[in-house]
Amino acid sequence: MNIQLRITRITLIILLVVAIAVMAIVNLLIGSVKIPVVDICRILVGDDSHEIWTNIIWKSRLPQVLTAIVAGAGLAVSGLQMQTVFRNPLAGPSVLGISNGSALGVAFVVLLSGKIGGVALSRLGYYGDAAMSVAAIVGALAVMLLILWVAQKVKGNVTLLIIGVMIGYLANAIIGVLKFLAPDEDVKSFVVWGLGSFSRVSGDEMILFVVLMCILLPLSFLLVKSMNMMLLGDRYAANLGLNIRRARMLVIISSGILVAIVTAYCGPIMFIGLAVPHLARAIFRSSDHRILMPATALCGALLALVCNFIARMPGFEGALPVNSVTALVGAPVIAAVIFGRRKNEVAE
Amino acid sequence: MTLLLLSSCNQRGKAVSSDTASVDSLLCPKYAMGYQVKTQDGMRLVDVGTDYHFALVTSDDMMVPDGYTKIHIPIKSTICMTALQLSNFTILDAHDVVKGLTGTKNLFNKDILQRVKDGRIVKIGTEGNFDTEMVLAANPDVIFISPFKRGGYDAIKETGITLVPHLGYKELDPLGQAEWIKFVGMFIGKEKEACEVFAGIEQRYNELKFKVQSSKFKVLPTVTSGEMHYGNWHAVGGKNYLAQIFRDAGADYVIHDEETAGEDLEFEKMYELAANADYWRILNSYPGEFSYEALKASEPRNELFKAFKERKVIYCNMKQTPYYEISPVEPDVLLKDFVAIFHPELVETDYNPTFYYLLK
Repeated sequence: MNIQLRITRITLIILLVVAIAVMAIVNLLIGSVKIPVVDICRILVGDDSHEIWTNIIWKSRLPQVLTAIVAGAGLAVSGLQMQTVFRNPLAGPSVLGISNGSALGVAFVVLLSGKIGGVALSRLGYYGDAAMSVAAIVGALAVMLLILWVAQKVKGNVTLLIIGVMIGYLANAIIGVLKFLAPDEDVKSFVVWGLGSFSRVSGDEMILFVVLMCILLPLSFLLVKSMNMMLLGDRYAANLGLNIRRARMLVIISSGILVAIVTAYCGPIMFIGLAVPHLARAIFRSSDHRILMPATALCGALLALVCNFIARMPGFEGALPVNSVTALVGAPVIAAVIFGRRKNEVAE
Repeated sequence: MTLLLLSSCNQRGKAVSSDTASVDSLLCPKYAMGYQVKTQDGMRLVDVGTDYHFALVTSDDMMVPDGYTKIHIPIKSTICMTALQLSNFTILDAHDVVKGLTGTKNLFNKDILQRVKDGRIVKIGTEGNFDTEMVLAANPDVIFISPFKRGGYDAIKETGITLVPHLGYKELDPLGQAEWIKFVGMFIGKEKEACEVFAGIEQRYNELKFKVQSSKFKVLPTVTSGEMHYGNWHAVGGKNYLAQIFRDAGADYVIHDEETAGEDLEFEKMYELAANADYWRILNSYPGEFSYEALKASEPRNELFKAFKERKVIYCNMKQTPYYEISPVEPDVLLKDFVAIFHPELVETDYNPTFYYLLK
């Protein structure tokens, strides 16, 4: 039984990896510019006779594929960590106000440029993407530090969760005021940022992003043991020798940093963090984080690639924001998966 | 051509109703599509779009045709909603009529700023969030509006003040946009000045345009426009005002669709269209001196464009140049700036550009 289960899981993991590879190739093949498959293959093996197409593949599509993979994986893992630490299936990166913190940081740069700090801030504002990344990380980490400070003071997870939600509302309220005061074109910039996109990272920034995520994701896997113990309940985990407060903080820090960095580079991508852990649990039928963490990361990467592909399908030409696709495509699929699983449980 | 335009004005006029009205040959626009003017019984009937009809009267006891809103001219006070509208008042030297504005960001005109400072002009808030009390305090005879989508006009309507749509921003012809000077001129009793100012603009614009056309260039330089912003490139359509100026200046804009406003394109689509364009026009607000380094810093892939590599970026910085508050009434100057870049031999050698220059 155990061996059979293990084989099934290994097969599933392999299938997921294959699916990710296939979707990555599909993402490379199809985009708003039509490039014949033969030429794409030629470009991929180093032929650069058609300069425009070569640049499209290497500097636009490939960065997008890599960004989607690591961002999807990062958000999904972060969501799983939040759901475990709060033992709440509705928890996600946005629940603790961390995403709102990022948004607030960006709002300060985009909407207030030139008003506070004068030239300095507006100069940042123009440097656009780089400044936004910094602002998003600073915003997210500031909220995270606040949450950590609160976590020291309060015992219950629910209290912490409620405070997190409140911080989120507070950030949103400040954003609302900033939007009201800002000129129209800046509000539009902020709205566009909020739609999320895997295509805004390129060049050295993309490499930095992918390298950062490739370091942080494996690091977050180090917490699986603590996370498994947390599932048993605080008292039981403490009896097993787990320092609950420390573990809780480490998981929140890990989750917060992942969300902060993804949001900084891609904007707030909704839904993946909340939904993918459920998908992984349903597919792998396990709550063991040693399985769930890699499974969630892979499912997140796959879902991000699928959504990116749909958003860029010929006809839409980049007009569909990734955020709408993640929810439109992901929500029904995941609802169906969870519904199916619950029905089975009832039947059993 | 003029006859043709006049007759089209006439037909459009008939459709509105008023039987004895005749086309006002002086004020009925030649290029603008958004309004028409007729005269009847000593008053002017102005139709804006298809839904708004105004009768401009000089005495309150004049009877106006059904469906027309009576406006006593010249109006003494108004509120402007956009910089484009304000440009009409500026060129007609009529700032004293303006009693309210939506905001002063990126405004350069010293006279306007002084008037805002000492309270002769009030700020009424942005579209969608007007401060009704400020509007009432300004007590304008009419308010010129440029309705986009956010609304907020119902609250103003309740105050009983007449709202007059100023649709200059919708004009696709640069001269059409400038011709709204005549529209504003009628309301403030400066139609004669407006016609003279516009005639000058028209003459200068068309002279240069014909000079370009008669040069019969075999190959036109290609030009692209816009910038990547948070993952999207907003590309103005092939029927846009800007595309028209490019054409008149003897350049070929890379987008040839029938779109007016334009659309957001993904990088790869825009890159395919514009990678080999000879010139690249950019209009933005950059604090300090814009440069190729700054352009690359904002998006690393910008360096892939031919116009970047060959240092042929045409640039205007709205932080240093009063673009929106002047350019609508100076399409001839805009055109000359572009001609000076695309075909420098057609302008004087010491020409000093007003809005756009070639970024060094």
